[in-house]
Amino acid sequence: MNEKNFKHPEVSTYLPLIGLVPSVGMVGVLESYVPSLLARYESVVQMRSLMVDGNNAKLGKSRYIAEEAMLKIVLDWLMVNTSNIEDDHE
Amino acid sequence: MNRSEVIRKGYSDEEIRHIYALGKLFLENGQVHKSERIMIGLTYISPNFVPAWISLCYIYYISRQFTKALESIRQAHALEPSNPNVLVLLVLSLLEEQYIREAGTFLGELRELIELGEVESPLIERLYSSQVMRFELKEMRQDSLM
Repeated sequence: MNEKNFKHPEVSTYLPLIGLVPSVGMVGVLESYVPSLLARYESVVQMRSLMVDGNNAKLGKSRYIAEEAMLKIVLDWLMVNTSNIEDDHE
Repeated sequence: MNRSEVIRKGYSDEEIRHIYALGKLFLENGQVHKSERIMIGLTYISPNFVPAWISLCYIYYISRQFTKALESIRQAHALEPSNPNVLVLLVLSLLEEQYIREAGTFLGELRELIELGEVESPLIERLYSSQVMRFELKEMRQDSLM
């Protein structure tokens, strides 16, 4: 057998590092937050679409883009239709 | 009201934790990109929420983006310098980025926590032992190059 097949990866690649990621919160209760998440999503989409490019706006825009992406994933997982919000701001 | 409270205005602590739990669920199911998007969003709306920084470090570490992993875990470390999970990930990331002496310093801090009985997780102790071995190997290699 080829010697390189025995070449060991770094020690850390064997270890269950996911165990270091904390467990907090419960996905099961997210459904009760749908109205507020949806309202926030609409607000963020609106704010992001109103922002103009420029150095001062850069950080704010990054924040809105990140928040929008996060909320979209959460709402999709909750099977909430957001297409009407996105259509309104395109 | 401090800066972080202003930033996360509109989100309750519970809401942030439950959104985070979904991000972790994606991570456990191998949907790393979705998890990353959630964790990045959380770090913007709640920059002091350490679990999101830890998760981002983990995501970047397993995808071999070690510079980003180190940046993320440095943020967590600034907020919780004595968190053993943070210290382990900091050492892992520092060793990958070849900051060997700095990794040694934090291995020392982790050893102190273990000796003081402040670490209950066997995983942390195993990781500590393995990282000491990595540290010694890397230090030997570095010395032999000098």
